[in-house]
Amino acid sequence: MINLFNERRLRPIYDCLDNGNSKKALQEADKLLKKHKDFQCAKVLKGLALLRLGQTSKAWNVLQEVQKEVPTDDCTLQAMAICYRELNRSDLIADAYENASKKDPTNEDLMVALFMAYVKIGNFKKQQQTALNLYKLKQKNSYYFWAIMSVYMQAITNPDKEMASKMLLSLAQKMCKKFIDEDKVESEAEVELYLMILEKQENFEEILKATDGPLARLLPNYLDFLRRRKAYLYLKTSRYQEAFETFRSLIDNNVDQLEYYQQLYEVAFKLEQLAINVHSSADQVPKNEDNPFIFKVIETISKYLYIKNESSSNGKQSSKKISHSKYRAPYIARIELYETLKARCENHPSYHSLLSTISVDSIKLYTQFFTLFGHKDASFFDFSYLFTKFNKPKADVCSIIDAIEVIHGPLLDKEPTTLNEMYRLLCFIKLNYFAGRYSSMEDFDKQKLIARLLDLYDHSIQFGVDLLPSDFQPPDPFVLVISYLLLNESNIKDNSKLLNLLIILERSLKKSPSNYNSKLALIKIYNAIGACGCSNQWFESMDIKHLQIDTLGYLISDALLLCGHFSTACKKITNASRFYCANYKDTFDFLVSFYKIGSFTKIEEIMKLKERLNLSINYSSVELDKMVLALILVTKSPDSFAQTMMTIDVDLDKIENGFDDRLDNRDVAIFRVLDNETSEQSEKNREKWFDDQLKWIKLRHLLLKTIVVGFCSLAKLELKDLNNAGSSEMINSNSIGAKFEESDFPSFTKNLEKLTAYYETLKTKPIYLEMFPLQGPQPSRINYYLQKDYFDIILKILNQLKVVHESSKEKAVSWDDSWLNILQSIINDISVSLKVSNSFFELGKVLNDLSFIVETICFAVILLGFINLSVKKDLQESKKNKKKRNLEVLANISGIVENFNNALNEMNTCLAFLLSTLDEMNLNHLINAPVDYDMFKSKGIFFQQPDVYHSTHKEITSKLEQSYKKTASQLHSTISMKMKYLNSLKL
Amino acid sequence: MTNIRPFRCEDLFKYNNINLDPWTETYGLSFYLQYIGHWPEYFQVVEAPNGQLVGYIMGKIEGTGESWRGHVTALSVDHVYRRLGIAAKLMRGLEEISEKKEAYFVDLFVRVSNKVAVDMYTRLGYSVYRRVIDYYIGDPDEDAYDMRKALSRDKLKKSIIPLPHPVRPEDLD
Ligand SMILES: CC(C)(COP(=O)(O)OP(=O)(O)OC[C@H]1O[C@@H](n2cnc3c(N)ncnc32)[C@H](O)[C@@H]1OP(=O)(O)O)[C@@H](O)C(=O)NCCC(=O)NCCS
Repeated sequence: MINLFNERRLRPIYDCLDNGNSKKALQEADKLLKKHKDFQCAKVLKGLALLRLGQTSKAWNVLQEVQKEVPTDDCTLQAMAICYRELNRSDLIADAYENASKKDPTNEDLMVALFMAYVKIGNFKKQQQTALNLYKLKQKNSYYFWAIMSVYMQAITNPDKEMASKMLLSLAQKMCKKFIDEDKVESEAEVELYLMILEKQENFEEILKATDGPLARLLPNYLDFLRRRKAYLYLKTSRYQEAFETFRSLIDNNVDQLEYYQQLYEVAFKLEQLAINVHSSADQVPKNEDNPFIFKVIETISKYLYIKNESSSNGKQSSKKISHSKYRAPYIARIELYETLKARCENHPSYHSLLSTISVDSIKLYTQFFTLFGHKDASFFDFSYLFTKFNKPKADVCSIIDAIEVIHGPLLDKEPTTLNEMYRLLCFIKLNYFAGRYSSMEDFDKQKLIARLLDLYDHSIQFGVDLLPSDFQPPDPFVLVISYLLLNESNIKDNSKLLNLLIILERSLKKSPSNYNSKLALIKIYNAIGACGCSNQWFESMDIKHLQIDTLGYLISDALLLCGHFSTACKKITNASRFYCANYKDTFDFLVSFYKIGSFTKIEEIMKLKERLNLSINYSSVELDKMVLALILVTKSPDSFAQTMMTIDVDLDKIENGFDDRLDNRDVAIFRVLDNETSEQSEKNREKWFDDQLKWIKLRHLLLKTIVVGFCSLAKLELKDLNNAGSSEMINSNSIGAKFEESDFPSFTKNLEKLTAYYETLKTKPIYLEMFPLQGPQPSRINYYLQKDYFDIILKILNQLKVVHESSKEKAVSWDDSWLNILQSIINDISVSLKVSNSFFELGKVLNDLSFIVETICFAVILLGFINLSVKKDLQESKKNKKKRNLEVLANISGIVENFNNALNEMNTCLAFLLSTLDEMNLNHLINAPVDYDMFKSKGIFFQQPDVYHSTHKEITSKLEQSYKKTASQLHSTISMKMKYLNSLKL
Repeated sequence: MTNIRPFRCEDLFKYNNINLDPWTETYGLSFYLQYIGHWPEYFQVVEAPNGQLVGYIMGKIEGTGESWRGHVTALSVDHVYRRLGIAAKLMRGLEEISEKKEAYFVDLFVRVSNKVAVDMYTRLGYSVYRRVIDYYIGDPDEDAYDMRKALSRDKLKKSIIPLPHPVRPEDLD
């Protein structure tokens, strides 16, 4: 009754808050509180409104007041929870519920809410207590098992492994056991929790017992997974005979599960090993009948080799000719068994006869596999898997390829007449690629091959009839192979070859607009030549969102920054930042809901997921880039810089935590790599990237922190004014604004020392610029950054700031202008490179440099602003202290002023020169250069139609031009803006 | 060959090769978590020999009375691994689970223009129960077929008798 009444009166406040009208919400709350001054929920909502209006300390007072009154009604507590969450103080939610629950100890709902509040802060011990209290209050199974789960969580998160497993796990296990013995277990979830605990204890015997005993009635055997689980338990408990039989029966139900075959033959080897050990006293050589288990494996595999697919058609009697199985598992298993036996035959002579029952040789097995499955797109990856697993030397792979040609004729010379023939040919081509036969080709032969592949593509377009835009063109893989053949350094640097490659890929996408493989290739190429406007267009077309931001965002994010597309980058980064924040909250909500539905087995998983996102290296990059971009794009003047600092929502302390636990969540496997050399190099590049990126993040973090601390310590007074003037900007408790109280100049100096020392270590590090293979990660930005002395400019200005600020001005203050020389010389370099770059690739590199120098300029201007602030204060003070006026000090200050103004003037000249360089940027010689389109001379059915060719060529060059011009104009406007900023700093 | 196993949270980090397909929706994290938490047995993934994920099915069981049914929310197979019976197998698995849970039928929504999928479902014994107008919001909106297959509990196959008229999304039960 009362609740309903209250709710009606609170409704208007809630509505305003929901609509984002915090001001009105505040008024409504005040109105209500005038009539009912003790209305707790209204007070909290007032607090929430204040919070959202940026009046954190007022909000805080209101909340504290209510917290002291220990509210126990749901409405108030929930509203408080929202406030505390927005303040990032979830711990206080738990406090509030704790107090409430003490006051009203028999209130079940309150206690449940308290339990969940502990879940949110991960206080497993308190979770346990609360769950047990709940169970005392109401004997519900779920409460009891919440308690057990909480003990389990304590066990697995306990750093002391020994104590964890011994005590906590055994406590959890005993708690379960008690319920089992009393026959109180009711649900699958409860049994699963019990098994999970046993699993952590590695008590497999007990798990087996449980899955065989009465509890098993609660465990459903969906898709044979219970049996599968048992099979592995037999393995773990060395019951090999049972394991063998179970895997065999599993195969009967699921012919295509390769895993079962693999386990089966491994168990067979184990069983025979055991038998040999038993017989080893008698020194007889084992005969064929000594391998009964392996023999049985061979039989099992054979049984499934030639069966037809179970018909999936509904009833229609298949009158078609016998089609072969599409189940590859038995065939792969047969090859695996053969290769394994062969590898072990030296020590086991009896394997020879087993081998001969399988096949005359391994080549035959592979060629048979080709004949049966070569027309399936997947078959190449089966081959490469097998070759890799058994370390097949290249020569052996070549023999297999040759044998295939003996059977199927010279595949590459024939035009395929059916879709299946085309797929078979593609598999054959990829096998050659894998064997390295193409990479060793002379240029001329390679061009001939590419021309042939183009013809085959043209020819095979006929197989893609009636396609929807969402379908892939069947012959697309020809294009992929061509692009892989062409994607190397010398081709990327050769404009003619580069453009041909772009034309081939872009053209193929017109016929197959959904093929992400071609898009990925294009993205990487455009990135490599600094044309990220073009790559971004394809990136956008892939509709990458949600978790993909974490796994695939890397395809574009660095490139956008590297070629100065700052606004686009900013949009992407804001979006990504939002994603990470939201997920952090979402995963918490799901933790709660998983407890509620008893999904215990997934709780650990979801905690890991949360952690994985939180520790993602990309997350840190995003946050830091967000801040850097704000400095680049938003700060037009010292005032706007101050505003940005106060309002930006980046938690530098959080980024500092656990630097070395960072994770690389990027999905690199999205590139379909066709040979092991490429994947190995790509893996190496990935590792290198990760190492380097950590360094990059560290450097950026230190820099930003130094800037923030410097700013806060210099600007304290002004900022207080700014704040009291009723600035309605929201100040998040994590934002810089909240921290500036703690900053002073000595801590700035400390940070600067750290930063300098860290940069010194980086300077000695070799620069890693290996960007190939393109179908993988590229070097971290830090490598491009360290090629020039951008950072020295920043450090020198920071040091100048330190010198100026710390000096008492009683002596002349030394002034170091050398950063201007560095700036000048970098700008001159760039200006020359820009004029002489005669390939898109080189142009791209120059644009990288340009973007970095512009970024550096942005930092420089901000830091000069700091010097300006410091000197201004000196000036004011010297004017105030007229009595103690010291001529010397005055003279020294005006010395600084003069030096400072001179530096600004010189910098201004540099920037003006940079602007004119950008204005003069001329791409005509690149854009209009003729392209040799006979390069891959082919029959020319589709690609080489001159009009199509030319129109695609034109389309590409105009896209390129646009992207480059966008870089220039974005950089131009950034510089112009910073010039005004700079000029406003004159003293 | 297809190793089938339950979907795990960490699989979300490496399912891109499947999800970059234009017919396959990439949902927000919470959507997947909801399925992982509530109906883990209805969320299965298929692995290639080299460990790459190549397909998955995500579904649930819902409804009351005679509409107690298994539902396919998402089904997708990496292009390279298509036409190997993977989707058919995943569907069979979902039907088997729904049988065990004594559902009356299995249903799903599919874009009317998704010919490959509609044909495949038909091959697998599904039939159009009704057409849902503008079920898929987008540019432009698109109709869905609500396709169904009766399970053994629905002896008279009442659940799949087609409706004569299309319905609107707001009229779905
Ligand atoms: C629809 C899809 C899941 C099929 O996956 P799949 O593993 O290739 O399918 P299967 O191999 O199990 O095919 C089963 C049967 O469906 C039919 N079929 C599947 N793909 C077909 C195609 N491209 N053309 C014609 N028939 C096809 C065939 O009858 C096939 O049996 P068969 O190969 O013995 O002739 C897959 O194409 C896909 O992921 N599409 C994108 C996502 C999507 O549309 N999902 C459905 C949304 S509800």
